[in-house]
Amino acid sequence: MNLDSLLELARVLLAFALVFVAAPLLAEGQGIVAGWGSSTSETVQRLVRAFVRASFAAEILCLVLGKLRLCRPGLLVSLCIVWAVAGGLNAYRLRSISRGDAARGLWRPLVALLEDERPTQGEAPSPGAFARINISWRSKLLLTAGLAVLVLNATNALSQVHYHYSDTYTRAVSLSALTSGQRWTPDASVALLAPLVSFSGLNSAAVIRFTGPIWATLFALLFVFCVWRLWRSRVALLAAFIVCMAIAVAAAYRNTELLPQSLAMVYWLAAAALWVEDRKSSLLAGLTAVMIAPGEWPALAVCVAVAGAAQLSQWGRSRVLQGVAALAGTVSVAGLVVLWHTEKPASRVFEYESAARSCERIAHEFRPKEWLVISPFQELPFTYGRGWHLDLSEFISTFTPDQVANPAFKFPYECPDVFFFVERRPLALGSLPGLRTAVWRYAPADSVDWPAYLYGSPIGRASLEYRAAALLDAYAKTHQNLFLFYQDDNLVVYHLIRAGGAS
Amino acid sequence: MEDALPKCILPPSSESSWAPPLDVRDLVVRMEADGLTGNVCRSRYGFRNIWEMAEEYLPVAQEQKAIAPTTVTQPGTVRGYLKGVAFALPLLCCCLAVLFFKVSLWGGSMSANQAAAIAMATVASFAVTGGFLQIIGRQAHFYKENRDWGLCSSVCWLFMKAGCFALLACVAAGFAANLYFGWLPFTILSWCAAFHVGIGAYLLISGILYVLDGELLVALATALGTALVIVLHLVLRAPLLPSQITGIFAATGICIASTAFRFRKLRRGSACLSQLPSPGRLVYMLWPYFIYGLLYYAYLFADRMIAWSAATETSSLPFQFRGDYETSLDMCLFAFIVQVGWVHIGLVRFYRIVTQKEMHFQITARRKMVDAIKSFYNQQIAVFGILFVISSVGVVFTVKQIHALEAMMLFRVVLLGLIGIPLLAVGLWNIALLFALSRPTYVLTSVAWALLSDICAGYVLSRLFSYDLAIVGFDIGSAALVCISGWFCRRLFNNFDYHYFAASV
Repeated sequence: MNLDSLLELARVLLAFALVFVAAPLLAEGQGIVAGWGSSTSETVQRLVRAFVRASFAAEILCLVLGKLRLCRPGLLVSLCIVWAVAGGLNAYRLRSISRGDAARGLWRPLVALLEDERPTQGEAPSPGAFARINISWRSKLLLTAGLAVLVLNATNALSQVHYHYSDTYTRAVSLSALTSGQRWTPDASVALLAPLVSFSGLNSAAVIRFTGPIWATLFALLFVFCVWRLWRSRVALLAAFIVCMAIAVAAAYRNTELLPQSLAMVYWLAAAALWVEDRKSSLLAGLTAVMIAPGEWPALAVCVAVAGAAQLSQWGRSRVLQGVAALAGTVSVAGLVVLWHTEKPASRVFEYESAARSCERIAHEFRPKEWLVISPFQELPFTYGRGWHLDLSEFISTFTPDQVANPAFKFPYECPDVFFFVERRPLALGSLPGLRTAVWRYAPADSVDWPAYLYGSPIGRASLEYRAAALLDAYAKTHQNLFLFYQDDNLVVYHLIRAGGAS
Repeated sequence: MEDALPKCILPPSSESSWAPPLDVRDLVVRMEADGLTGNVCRSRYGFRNIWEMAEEYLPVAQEQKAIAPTTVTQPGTVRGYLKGVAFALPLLCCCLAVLFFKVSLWGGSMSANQAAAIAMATVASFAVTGGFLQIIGRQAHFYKENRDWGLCSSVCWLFMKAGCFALLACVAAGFAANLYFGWLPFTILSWCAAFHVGIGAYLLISGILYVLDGELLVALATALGTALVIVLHLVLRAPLLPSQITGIFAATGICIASTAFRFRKLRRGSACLSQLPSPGRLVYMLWPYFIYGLLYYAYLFADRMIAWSAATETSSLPFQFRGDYETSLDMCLFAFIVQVGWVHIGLVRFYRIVTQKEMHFQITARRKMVDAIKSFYNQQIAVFGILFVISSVGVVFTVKQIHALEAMMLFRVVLLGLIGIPLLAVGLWNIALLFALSRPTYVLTSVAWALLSDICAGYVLSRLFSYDLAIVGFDIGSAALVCISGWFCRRLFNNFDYHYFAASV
């Protein structure tokens, strides 16, 4: 964990707060702070509603824009600002200014400020107006729980850069392609995150890394909220809070990467939480979940059960019936929590941590789009949009050792700085963390394509890395511009400085 | 009790036209207009009522010398037209410098990243100072016409300072945003900030000099600044960017010195008794003009911004200076200068025609007055049409004849730009009329829709097809500007006598 990672988490959090909380609240003509004084249930419901509506809007907008290759950061930020400002203008009745009704608009305070006018006796705000904004103990508890769960969930993301699922690599590349206006295969679990890339100013890899803890925290908070809504008792709230904290503590340092199924579960839980009070938002949450993971039927079933129990506990006249309904709902929510933790596959190793960190270092130290990384596919998400990436298999198939050993030979790359990632200990792709032995996942005869064989099979990977090392060795013997950039037990990164590159 | 005489009894210090009161009723009206109520007369001056005070001071007022109204000689058509195009003199100076020496006050041969950053700084300077230039023009012209040079000078320096503060605030915001998003390397951003402040200050002071009819002075200062760049860069072999910054600040310094000198000369002998309106009142009066300035420059440069930021996947910066696109627009700029020169003369003619027709028609001939104004408007549009044909043919002919020039630009952009330019010129003519009839909110509506159409169309086309199609956004925006502002003008013309009267009130 370092300061850079903490800052990146803060930026993603800020972007999340702007896109999924502040913008929808402003767009609906509500103040961000106004309403904190109302009951905890209402406040949380407003926030969940804003989150659900913003998610649905972001989903649809980014899917459409992504298909048109127009999902660019500038456009997303502009649309978000226009959305929020239009709502804000409506709320504060600025239109009255153009109609000359200055007293109702913003002119009055503005002119008073510029003219140094003192408010008259009747207009002076009473000190109690601010004192009324009083956050209840339940809200404080929820905020504390949220922060604690976020910190626990984020420990893993803060301490490591690489991912545990091959799907996460694919989604990170997909998000990069989407936000840089490239050809993109629609993926609803990715489209949702595009505004975070725009507002945080970070690359897609970092956004994907930190959205896991954030959505996991949301899931925990929604769980607490659902339990409280079912029982409406402080004991239930405290119990849910304790369960939530216990799970977070137990799961600390574990993988919090989001898979589409987990993402959908958050929205199914939100749909269940909103069903009784706001059916429209509940349906929007359900639609978002369906778009993200259409086949997530267990979560849908749990959502229906929780919503039904909440409805029943509200309708039921006898306390026994209400208690039974609440119990059924709690069991269902607990089932969803179990599903959240059990549905995820075990973590695997697809990339050395040092390889991902080297990419980050290169991106920070060298000018954008003026460097090239030659490495396996897994480094692509960390270089996409910041520099260039060439597949290692393509590199070894293009040159021969004899060719590069020629003193007159020059690599035909235009970037001033080129980096070669060569594994000293060829990675067993998809192996369990900590295992040194290779996991045989591809039989050579089953491999239909050459890169899959080279990367997926231990023999293929070893030969790939050996060949790359041999090429660079041959090149270094006759050239003076290849330097060591990074090395450890697993990986060596060579730096080729071409004319105009960094000294 | 106050010993000083009320202001309305004596001729104004600004030497604007004044006549002694005809009788005691005339003086009472003037005193009341000056805020002297019965209570004020009683409490401050010790009179029983305003009538008694007026009778007391009438002999003093009638002894004062009348100040005859200054007869403003209207310039002839050619002179008026030249005044209309005079804003382009510094541009001409820069073009000549590029032609003969390959350097200019800003721009020239530099790396792609530096060119992009400095182009952005230039555009940002125009956008930030646009609002201030408009309010300087509006308020300073008002005091100039009233010959209140003290207030004119105060308001000019006040807005100049505010503009410089806005430029610095923009630089600070730019550094903060860059820290967050990491768009530019620090060195390039620093050059960008220096050019932004330098060019912005130069534009602000030029705006003040234009109010004082100092077009030639601005051109001279630009020429001297450019000469300094040439000496530093070509003779003393100094690097280009520091030379240009020195040149820009030198030109700005010359302009500031000459403005201060001119104001001092104009204010000599006239004591400044009156004060500027309060900040709240200034903001209330000038906000539409300020917003117009911002929107207008944003609209003028929106297509460039869109084109520069399109297809930047291979660029190390989030935008890329497109030399071919810029050169094409520069060629269109010549056509624009030819056409927009008529806006000034058209406005002068408009006032002349209105005054003539007012005297010519009787109160019952309201319809005829409206028809006459509409006919005048149509005539002016025809003149713009003629200028469009002449200038466009000239530009196309020049491009086609000089092959080196054609190779440097995108002919498609030239043609599409030439379509948008007359629409922009007519739009500006409509805006001038709307301002003349005191309808700034109509202007804001027109320009805001033009900007929105420009951005939407330009963005989509440049992202989906080719970056140079951002110019289509400019065409669509110009068409929107003409249609909306033209519709507002026609609506006002239908009830012209009322709106003209309301504007003068």
